[in-house]
Amino acid sequence: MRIVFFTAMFLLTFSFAEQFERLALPKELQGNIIPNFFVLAGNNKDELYRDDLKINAKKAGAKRVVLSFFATYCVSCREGFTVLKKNASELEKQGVQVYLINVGEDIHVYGNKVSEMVKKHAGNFPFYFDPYGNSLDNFGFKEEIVLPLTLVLDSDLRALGILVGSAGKDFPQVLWEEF
Amino acid sequence: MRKIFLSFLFFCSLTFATVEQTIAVLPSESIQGALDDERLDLLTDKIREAMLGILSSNDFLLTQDAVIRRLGGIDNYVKECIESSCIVDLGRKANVDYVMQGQVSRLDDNLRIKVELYRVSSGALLGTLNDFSAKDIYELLSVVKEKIPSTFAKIFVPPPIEEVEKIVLPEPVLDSIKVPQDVQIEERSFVFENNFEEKKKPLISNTTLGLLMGGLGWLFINYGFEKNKEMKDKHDYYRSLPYGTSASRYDEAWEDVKKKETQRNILYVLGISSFAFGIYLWF
Repeated sequence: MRIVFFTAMFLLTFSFAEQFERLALPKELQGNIIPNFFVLAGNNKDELYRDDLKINAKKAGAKRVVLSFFATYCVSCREGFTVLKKNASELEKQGVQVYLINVGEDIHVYGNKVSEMVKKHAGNFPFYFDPYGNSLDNFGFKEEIVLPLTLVLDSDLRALGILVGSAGKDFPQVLWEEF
Repeated sequence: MRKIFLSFLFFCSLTFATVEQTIAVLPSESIQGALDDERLDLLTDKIREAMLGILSSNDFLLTQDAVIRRLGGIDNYVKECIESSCIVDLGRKANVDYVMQGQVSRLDDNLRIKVELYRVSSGALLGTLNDFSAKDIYELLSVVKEKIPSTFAKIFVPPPIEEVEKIVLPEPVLDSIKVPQDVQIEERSFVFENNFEEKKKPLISNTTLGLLMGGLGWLFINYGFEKNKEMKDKHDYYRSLPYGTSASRYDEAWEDVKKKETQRNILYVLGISSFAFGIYLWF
């Protein structure tokens, strides 16, 4: 009896990590397309614009575009990356394009660290930099944000949902199944 | 072997990957109609041209089109921006490392130009050019061409080591100090020690440690249950002692009960603490 009780307690304790936390879409993301934005490539010079995402999605026949915002200090981001890396082929099969975007860190100081982190934990997913967090500002995240923040879009770049915090058991299926 | 080769390639790629410094020149501002738009454009182009001449291969000056695109259109680009915070803010929006802007105003019959360069990450003013000698736009362009390199070059191109002016220390004045002849002066050299140790990665992550502590707590609690059972047995034994048993025998049995009870309590406390600490570490 006591074993059952403690097992139940144990499971209850960890049941909070079952699902990703969802956020309501800010009004900036409620239109037919997300607001314009751009992020920088690792050389601090080349840019990736919103329209580039659309072109890439069309070219690859993707059904979903996922923007995953992260930082080097974020432990949960690494865990999420590992799951993404493990499911890279499944994501491709399901037509999900993932872009990793480093937020709020100086590219000159953290560039190499970000590169190592992505290579080690996320593998070959493309990664970009948004040193001043402009894209999140444009998307309506004016207050302090929780990382990792994952923005799920359809192929026309219409925002479908926002996931925040540690990856739950529903990750990464949530990226192609829900919404 | 393949891993070593791939690691080597990876490190090579890191070694040669250069992160460039980006600079944006914002459109020049005219205060109280000192210059018309056409002449202001000319001035901005001249500033850009002068800057190109002083930048190193590691610096990248954004074209006007690139700045407009990054700012999200011409409306944001030509937005009037006189305050430094506004200039830096535009630099942030354009995701550049440095931002620069010229301002022209009238001072008596002359044109006064002020060109400022800011570091965007900190908002610090790194250099400023002030001149009021020009009578017209053509003289102003000459001023820009001549003075921008001398004002801003040092920010982007550090002087080579051999050209750094040798610092001449003043000769020590020994007249007033009487050094006894028999005193041996020990020669010392300064050793700069690197006190900055790289932060070592922990061997075990917090999640793993949390799980281990949780597991340990679990074991303690289970062991505590065992002790509880033993205590109950001892208690039953104590209660079942037949009438007429000696007092010392009673005491002995009661001590056994107390001992087991203490052991049980300690194990419970340890178990609950470890379990709670494990959960804390996990999250």
